Amino acid sequence: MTTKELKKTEAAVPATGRNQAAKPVILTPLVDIMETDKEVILVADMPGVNESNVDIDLQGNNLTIKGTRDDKFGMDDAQLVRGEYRPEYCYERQFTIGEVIDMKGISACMKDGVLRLTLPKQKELAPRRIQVKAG
Amino acid sequence: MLWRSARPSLWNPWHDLRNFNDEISRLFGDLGEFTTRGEYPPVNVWFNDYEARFTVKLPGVNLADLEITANQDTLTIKGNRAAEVLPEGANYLRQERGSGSFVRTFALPFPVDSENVEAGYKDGILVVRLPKAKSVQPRKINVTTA
Repeated sequence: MTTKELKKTEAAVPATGRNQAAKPVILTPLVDIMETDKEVILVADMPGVNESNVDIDLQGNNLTIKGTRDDKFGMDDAQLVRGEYRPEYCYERQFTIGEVIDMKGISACMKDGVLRLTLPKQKELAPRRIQVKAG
Repeated sequence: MLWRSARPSLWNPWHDLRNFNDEISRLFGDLGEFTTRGEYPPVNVWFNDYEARFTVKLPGVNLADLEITANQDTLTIKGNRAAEVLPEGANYLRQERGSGSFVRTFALPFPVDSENVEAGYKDGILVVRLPKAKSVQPRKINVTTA
């Protein structure tokens, strides 16, 4: 077996133990949901997530919010001596919305690890009176 | 990470048992926002030869409401998380996020250089860097010919 072949084989074997990248745990973000006549406001705590790695998806009545983190806050040069939360994690949560939402009007902002989502309700159609004619 | 006791001289089997319980809870049921003992905020502590680093999960806190004190070998993180301001005419459909004041104090196994303690807050994570006092930092000794 030549060196080249050997390298190829080595690469194919999955990394184990310390070398294996830990799969981040999926956490459920805590949320507040508020409703007014015009809109639904959703506030979610997602510490460590910034505006570039938050993902909001609305399909029909299903709203999904996802947040990932790509940094470990430069912890590669130090050892964890007390761990109260897992350093690698991501967020995901799904909601079912009862109201009809105006998809185009959705706005979101992210500040200090808090996501604020405003979902405007679709303007109700003007009530229409149907005349019944005697036929 | 499992059977590590911070202070072997104060060994106490119940303490170890409790730590073990904490570790198991942390591995299998991450509460995320509180520690397994219900303390807030959860903190990860990292050590290297030169400093101790605290990373704190603390979303949505105003910097003005945060107070960090380092004194010799203790670090105190004190703060207040403002309650959500409900817009006029709104009502809650769901309220899970908490608010209120918190304080946590940590004892470090070495004195820190309190003048050079740094703290940064980004994306809801607070990072506090506490350099070890010069006297406890590793020092390279040059060998000279006698």
